[in-house]
Amino acid sequence: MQTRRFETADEAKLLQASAAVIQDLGFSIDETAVPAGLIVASKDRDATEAGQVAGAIMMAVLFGARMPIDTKQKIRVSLVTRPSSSQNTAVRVTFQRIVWNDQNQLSKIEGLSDPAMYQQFFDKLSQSVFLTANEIQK
Amino acid sequence: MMKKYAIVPLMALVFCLAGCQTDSRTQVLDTSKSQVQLRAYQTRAYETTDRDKMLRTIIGTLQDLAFVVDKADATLGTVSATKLNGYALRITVTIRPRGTTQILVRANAQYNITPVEDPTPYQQFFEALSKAMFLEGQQVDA
Repeated sequence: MQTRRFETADEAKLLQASAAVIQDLGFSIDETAVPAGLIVASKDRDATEAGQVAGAIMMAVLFGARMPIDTKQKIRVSLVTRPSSSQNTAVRVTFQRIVWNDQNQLSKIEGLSDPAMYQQFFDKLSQSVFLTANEIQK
Repeated sequence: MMKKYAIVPLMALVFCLAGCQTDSRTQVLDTSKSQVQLRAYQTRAYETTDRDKMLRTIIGTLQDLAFVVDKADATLGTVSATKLNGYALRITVTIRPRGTTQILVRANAQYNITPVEDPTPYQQFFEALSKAMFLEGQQVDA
C-alpha cells in the first residue's frame, strides 16, 4: 500500500519529483538526506470537524457540559526511495498526524492507513515524474 | 418557550455543517487548486546555472524578508524557513535545473494553519529574489 515501483534508475530525479509533489500538497520540507533517499515534510492545517462541533453544541445545550473539539493538526510525511533492481526504483511513503483540541491538548496521534489516500498520492507522483520528464525534453 | 431556545443551536449547527469539513483527514492531500495551476504561480525560471549562488541568494532574500532558516540542503536544493511576527509563516523553496541554461525556483508557504494559495505573496517573493539575483524571473507554463 505504501510502496510503488517506478521504471527509472535515476533515484535523484525521482526524489526531486517527489519533493515537487510534496510541495504541490502544501507541505514544508523538514528534513532531507539525499544519499539515503529521504524526505521528511509536514504541514499544519485546520482539524475542525462538523460532526464533532455539532456534538459539542448539543452537549452544551442539553447538559451544559463543555466538550473539547479538535482545532488544529500537524500532518507529517516521510518518503524514502531505494533502488529495487537495476532499472527500477521503489518509493515508500508514510503519513501520520498529530491533532490538538481547543484546550491545546493532544487529542489524536495516529498513522494514516487509508489505501485510497496512498493511491492518490502515487497518482500525483506519477503525474509529477511525467511533468519533470517532459521539462527535461524541452 | 422551548422552541425559541432550540433555534439557536440549530442555526449554529446548520451554519457549521454548511461550512465545515466532515473529515479532517481529507486535509492530507487537499489543495484548492490543481497541481498544474499551483505550480504555475509558485514557480519561476531564472537564466542561470549557478545552483550555489541561487541557493545563497534565496537564503539571503528570505533573511531580508525576516525569515529564519530552518534547514537547507544543497544536494536536493531546498530551503525551509519560518517567519514569526504574531503569525507563523512557513515557506519551502526548492530549485532544480531546467534544460541546460535555466534553474526553476519553486516556493510554497503556509500561514498558521492555512496554505497560501493566493498568487500575490509568491509574486512579491520572486520580485525580491529577482532584484537580489539581478535577473528577471520568467513565468513558466508548468
